[in-house]
Amino acid sequence: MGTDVLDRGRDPDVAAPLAVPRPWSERLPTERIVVGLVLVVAVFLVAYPVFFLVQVSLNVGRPDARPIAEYGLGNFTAIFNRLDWLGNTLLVSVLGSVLAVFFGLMLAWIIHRTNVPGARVFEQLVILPFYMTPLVGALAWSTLASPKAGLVNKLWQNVAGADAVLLNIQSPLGIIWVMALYEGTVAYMIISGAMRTMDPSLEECSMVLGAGRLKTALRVTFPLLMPAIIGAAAFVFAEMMGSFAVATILGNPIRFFVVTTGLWLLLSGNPPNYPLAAAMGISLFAFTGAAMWVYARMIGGRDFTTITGKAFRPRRMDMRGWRPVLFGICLVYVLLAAILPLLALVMASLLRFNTTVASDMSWTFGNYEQVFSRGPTVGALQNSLFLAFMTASIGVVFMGIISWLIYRSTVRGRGFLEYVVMFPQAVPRMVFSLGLLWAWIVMPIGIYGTIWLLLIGYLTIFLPLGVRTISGVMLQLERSVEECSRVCGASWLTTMRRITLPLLKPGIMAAWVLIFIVSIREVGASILLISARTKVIGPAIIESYEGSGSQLTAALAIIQSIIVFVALIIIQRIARGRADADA
Amino acid sequence: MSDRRVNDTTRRAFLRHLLLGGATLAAVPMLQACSGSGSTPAPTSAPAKPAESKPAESKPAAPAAQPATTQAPAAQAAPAQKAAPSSGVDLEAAKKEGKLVWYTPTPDEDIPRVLALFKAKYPWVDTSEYLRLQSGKLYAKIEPEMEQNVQSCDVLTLSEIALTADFQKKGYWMSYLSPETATFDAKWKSTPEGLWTAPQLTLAGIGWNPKNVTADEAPKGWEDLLNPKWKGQINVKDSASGLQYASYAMITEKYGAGYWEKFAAQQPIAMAGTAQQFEKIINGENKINALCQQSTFTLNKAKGAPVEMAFPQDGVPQISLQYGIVKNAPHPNVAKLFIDWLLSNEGGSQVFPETLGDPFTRPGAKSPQFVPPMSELNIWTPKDMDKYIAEQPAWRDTWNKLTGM
Repeated sequence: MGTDVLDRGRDPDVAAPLAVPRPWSERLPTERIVVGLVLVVAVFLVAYPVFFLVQVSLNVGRPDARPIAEYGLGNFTAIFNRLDWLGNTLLVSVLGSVLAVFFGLMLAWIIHRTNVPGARVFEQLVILPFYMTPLVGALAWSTLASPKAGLVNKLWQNVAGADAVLLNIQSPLGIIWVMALYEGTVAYMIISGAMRTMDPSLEECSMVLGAGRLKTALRVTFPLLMPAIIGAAAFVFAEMMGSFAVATILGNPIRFFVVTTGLWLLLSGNPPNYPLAAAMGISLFAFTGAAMWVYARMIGGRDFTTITGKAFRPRRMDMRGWRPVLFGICLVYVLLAAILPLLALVMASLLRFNTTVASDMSWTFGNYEQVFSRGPTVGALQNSLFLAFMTASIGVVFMGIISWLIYRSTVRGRGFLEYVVMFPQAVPRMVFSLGLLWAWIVMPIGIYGTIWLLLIGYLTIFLPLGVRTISGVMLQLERSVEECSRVCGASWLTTMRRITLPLLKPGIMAAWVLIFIVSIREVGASILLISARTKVIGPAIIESYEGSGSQLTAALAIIQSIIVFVALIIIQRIARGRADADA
Repeated sequence: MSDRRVNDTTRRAFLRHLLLGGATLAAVPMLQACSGSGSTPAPTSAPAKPAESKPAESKPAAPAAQPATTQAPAAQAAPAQKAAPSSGVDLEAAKKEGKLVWYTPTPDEDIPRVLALFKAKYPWVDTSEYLRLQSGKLYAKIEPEMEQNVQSCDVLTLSEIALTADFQKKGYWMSYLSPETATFDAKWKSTPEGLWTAPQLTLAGIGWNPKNVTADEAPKGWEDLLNPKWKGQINVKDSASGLQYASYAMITEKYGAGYWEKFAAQQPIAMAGTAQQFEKIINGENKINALCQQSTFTLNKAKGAPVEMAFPQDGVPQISLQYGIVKNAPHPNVAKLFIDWLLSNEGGSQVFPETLGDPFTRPGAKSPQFVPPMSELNIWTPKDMDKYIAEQPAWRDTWNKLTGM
């Protein structure tokens, strides 16, 4: 498809500035074919389902009318009737993003740039919270710190009297806290990818010139990481705008509603109001778009390259007396974000019925038995692992090229591509999955009802995550490194394979792991894309939460986390083994 | 410097890419129109069969199963034989189909138990494929599937009468008049008969934790919920719940809309799931569950949780679960056997009260555990079903406001 459009013997575009001694035909076709194909596929993956969403959002007649009889813009103005929801959403998302990026940056710096003890272990531990869907995290925190029945508050009541409340997670601050803990992991991954590939000479300069360690970090390290930091912020902000689980569990009991809680309600029950939900979902893109614009403005025209042609080794700073403090910070974070909620979940999963009243608790392994007695659990597990592996592996290549296209090529319209790629993040998953369902069900290629539909869906919805993660590193890469390779006569493909991709490795690895995890725990889009024959493990978590109770949900979540953990360990072992063999 | 240079070629190349994408997009409605005519059921169902390796599997299974099935009618001569011949289900054809695909909102952990019971009776049926989703989401999936004629579903269960009615209006149910249908009261089946039947009910009452609320002070009727001492202590379900709507319609019919002004002043908390409503009662965060779903109550009570439930004498709201076969079902004969079995006294009693903990609407059926006999409950049904369905959308706004959304 893309080839005949591209292969018309025009002047080479990207490589034009380089005085290349070889005829174009030897090098350019691969580049043009790949780039063109990726471009078309990316735009198509997003635009095709969005087309259906937009179409539905313009329906102002009966919500279930098909084909649509009345078109209008009425649904798009509806969001202004709920400015209180919008206000709450912005409050939670803005503060949550700031906190999440703070967590992410702090942890990435401590773990990757200082000689804190146990850095390798922390590296694994800080991403633990991300293994579970935010719903499960909110559930765990609700068990820990709901005002009347939370375990922490029950303990505190023994000390301070019957009605004392130490921590109240059912509050806007609580929602921000839980969201930030989860998204903090994403911020950490995005930022640490960039942190690992930093040339330490700039920091050394600063130290030589007399700045202290902290000052160096604040004045040199962090500003250099701006693309990754703001990229993480933009991504995390979009994710928070579109997430609903935490706000539902912790906000509904205090009647604190956000746009997505309302959206979720519009989509569930009868009658489902898809037009309004689609319009509201698309409207949310205004905010994500704005965040992206800010990002582009702050990145544009500045130089963040720290990966240059000169050889360097990222070196850790010797923090001396500060080491125990940094260790403490990491430990507290891991305790709060991972260990405590996990313990709460393990407890819940072993209860016959979920309660925090000690005298009522009765213990059982029945929940785990129930999970495994479900017919399709094993099949769903295999599907999930297969999909996660495929999505991550195809995804990083695909998203890496997109990232290269946006930040390294001179293809006209790459700025537009950046917005296109972020779109799936802006629209809440459940809304987007309707578009995916409608789009691919009419595609007469026999893909509906198969596992490939899920793969296409995952590749679409995780585009933003992958591109953001890889871009943080991409922007550090000096162009001259690639240009050098081209001047020396390497083809585009060789340059990509031998120069660009290896240099991007930390970002690509981070993206791979993130996509692998989010694919396994994916819920919102999967619900409508699974079929009786092809199931995945994610949706069961939400479904059992609503119908069967938290104890079963907890058991499912624990099993899911163990699978992610084991799978990642195995994959890392294999990857490390390969690397050793290469060396 | 050099990298800033953008030449026209790339601009044009990009525009052409976009045009290409645009053209593909434009083609979509056309594709939709073409496939909408219903000529492509094959793509998903046809390749599926070899992929399942079903022929290989079912052939050795069939002879082995044969004696078992021929023995079964002999052993339980009366019910089985009465059902099979008079229903006109072609057993041979059913055996050839050999499979059942069920779309249902039944809780995930219960479905295998129900299907195992069915398989015990018809061991040659492959019951491994089913899809469990909440009714609303199930409908979001099955409706476009029917429209595009790519559904793999045989039997569909829905818990929302409005969705069932919509499905009926669109002509998506297959007509099958099971011999068992005649036994059921007219309010539990479609007009005309044979499109769907509702053998299963979900009831609601008022629930509390006996450790936090004494038997004396516990509300017995719906008006007791208005007692100021429950302010901020009541949880209900959100406007996605059909059962909540039934409760609203019933109470409005009995006590007028004025009831809800007072109820709003109690500041009820709307939850998304029945399980969470119970958890908040059990751990003491809330005191009253004002939309206490009976099946969840039975489940919790059976596990020893401290819960009690009242079935108010002034009315018990219910929603029914409708079961039917969908048009163009890939395994229509097995689907008929499944429906016959579910509606039969033998099958229905095993499935609904015993396995799912829900009442079975067949006259004379026994109640689930911890529930008084059906004859003692004042079960409410809407007088005018069309009006009931028509007013639900407006109710959702009312209920959202009432619960502070």
